[in-house]
Amino acid sequence: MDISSRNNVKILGKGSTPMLFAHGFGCDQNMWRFITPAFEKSYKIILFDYVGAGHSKVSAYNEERYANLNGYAQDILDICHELQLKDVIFVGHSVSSMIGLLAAIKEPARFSSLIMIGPSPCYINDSGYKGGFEKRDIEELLNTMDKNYIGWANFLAPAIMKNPERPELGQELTESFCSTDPKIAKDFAKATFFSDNRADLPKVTIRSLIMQCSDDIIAPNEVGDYLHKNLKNSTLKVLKATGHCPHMSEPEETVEVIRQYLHTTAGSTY
Amino acid sequence: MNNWLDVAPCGYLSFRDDGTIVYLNQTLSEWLGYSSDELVGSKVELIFTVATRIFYNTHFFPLLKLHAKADEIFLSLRAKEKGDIPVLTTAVRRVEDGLAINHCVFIAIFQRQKFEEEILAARRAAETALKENKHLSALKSSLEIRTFELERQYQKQVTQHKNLTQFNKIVSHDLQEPIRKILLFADVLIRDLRDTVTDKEIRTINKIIDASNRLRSLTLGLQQYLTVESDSVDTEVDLNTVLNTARKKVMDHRGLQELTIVHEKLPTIRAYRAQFDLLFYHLFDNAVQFSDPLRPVHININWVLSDENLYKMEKEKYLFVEHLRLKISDNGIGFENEYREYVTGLLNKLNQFSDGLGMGLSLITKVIDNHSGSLLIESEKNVGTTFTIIVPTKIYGLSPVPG
Repeated sequence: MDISSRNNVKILGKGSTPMLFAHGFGCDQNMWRFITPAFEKSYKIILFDYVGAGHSKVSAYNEERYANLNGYAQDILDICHELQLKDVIFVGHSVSSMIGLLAAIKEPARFSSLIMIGPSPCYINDSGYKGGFEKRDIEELLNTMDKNYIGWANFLAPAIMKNPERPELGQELTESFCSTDPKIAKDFAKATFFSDNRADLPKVTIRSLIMQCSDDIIAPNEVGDYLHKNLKNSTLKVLKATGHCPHMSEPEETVEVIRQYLHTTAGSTY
Repeated sequence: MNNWLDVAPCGYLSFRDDGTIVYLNQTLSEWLGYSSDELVGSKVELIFTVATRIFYNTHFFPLLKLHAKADEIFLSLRAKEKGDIPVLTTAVRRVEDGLAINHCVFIAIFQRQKFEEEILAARRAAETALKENKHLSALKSSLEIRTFELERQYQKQVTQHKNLTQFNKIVSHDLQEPIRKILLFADVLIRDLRDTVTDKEIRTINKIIDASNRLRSLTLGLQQYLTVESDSVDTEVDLNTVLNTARKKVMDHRGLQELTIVHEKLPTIRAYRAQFDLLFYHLFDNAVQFSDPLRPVHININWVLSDENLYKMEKEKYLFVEHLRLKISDNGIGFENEYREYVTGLLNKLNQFSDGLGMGLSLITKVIDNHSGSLLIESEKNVGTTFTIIVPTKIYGLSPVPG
């Protein structure tokens, strides 16, 4: 199976500089639809779904591989290899920030910069480190996901197919949105929220932008500060946008911050 | 109308895309133990449990935003003082005058919650049993296949090993003797004929001597290749020592005064020391052998530790353990091949690069194979070659599971 169909890779845009957008936990590449139009003119935009998410080939899912963020990082590298990408601008939301970071440690020449939206190197509190969660919170989350499986399996799928209120969103969205297998979603939740990548931060050599939202309970301010302190050549930008999904709630600000960062030369701050 | 909504037997809440609560009905405010004033203007996450906050951010809000509705979603509300309220939520997103408002109806499901917990517990137990069962039968059939495969491999290995031992003996002893004799008699010939021989004849004899010497180094190299075995004992290997030893050896061998190798302090890993000596030696020797005469040899080494899959051959097996990624770049003449990736452990492929690479690169590949590692080669003509060696930082014996 080729990687492009395995990961449902979509390429758009008129530019040549590659910009790879990686979705976070809970969704798929459609979450970027408010952001990508702003970059289509000047960049080559690459969208994809992780194996197990969206319209990827679920048959390629492997429990052992995707129990670890390194397995997801391999998806990124596989795509870079197949498309022969170099100097990629990587834009990752939430857990994808760390997935991109792992990929950039393994093959730094593939990437020119990491743009991280709501990143966190470790979600669970540890001595002297405030990640924002206790282990039992994550267990309760897994339970919540289980409960919603009941609703989703029996009801949500046909409801999404109909989608009478929003015909403008188009057929592909109605078919793909959150069509993640609940079992896989739960595995992804575990891989995400139990990961600890703090020791990897000093290994990064390329420049990075940390987009820290205000009032983000998943990645609180302390986490953004921690990242900024431990990532060489990083820029910390606190957004006005609140919550964990600024690319959906405040796409204009998100686009503007990314655009400004890309216009600054490596190493300088703004 | 508003009064009716206030006393309706369901919670009702409206919030903006940024999470700001704009309205809640009286029923919800009573459930939560907050007054309406306390909540209007606050963030909606305030009334969620921590897990529901995550779920809201990763699933519920994205669903609502992209789809303008969310049906039958299970959430847990957190009351100001007395405990959590399990609810089923139906929500719609309406845009009026350019302003999006999300409207949610909550139905408390204390009774159903208990029922669902029971169903879920039963389902989980069934799933676990099924999974274990499936897992066991899959293991059983794959074990049978593997056992048979191993048996065949083993038979093959035994025969191969016999052949190799025999071949090795031929290379190291039987072949050496005729070569030695050719060289000896060539010397005798020069000595005996020194008064009558012409310059042209001397050149011819010297060619015989050169060819014989080359044959001798080839057989020595072959012998070395054949004796790189993985059955040695692994030790703590300080790669700085390995580097210095190899550097000195290459300088002696190539008659160099200087060999520039720029590197940070290298780590210590568990590996087969003698094989790593060979690996570094051949990497540096390659760099010297294929250097550009227009510039002095410059080797650059950097490294990083990363978690990689220990399984290299099994396609469906994954175990991420700590690996060393060692990147060795030279400024040599490079290969004619364009950008190359993932040329791992395949002797026959590597031999296609060029005649001169032969032994060194094969040895490098073999050592990396013996360490369950992989090799990436990128080369650009007239710029240089980069070898990326990826090996586990320790040797995993019979059981791959880290202890």
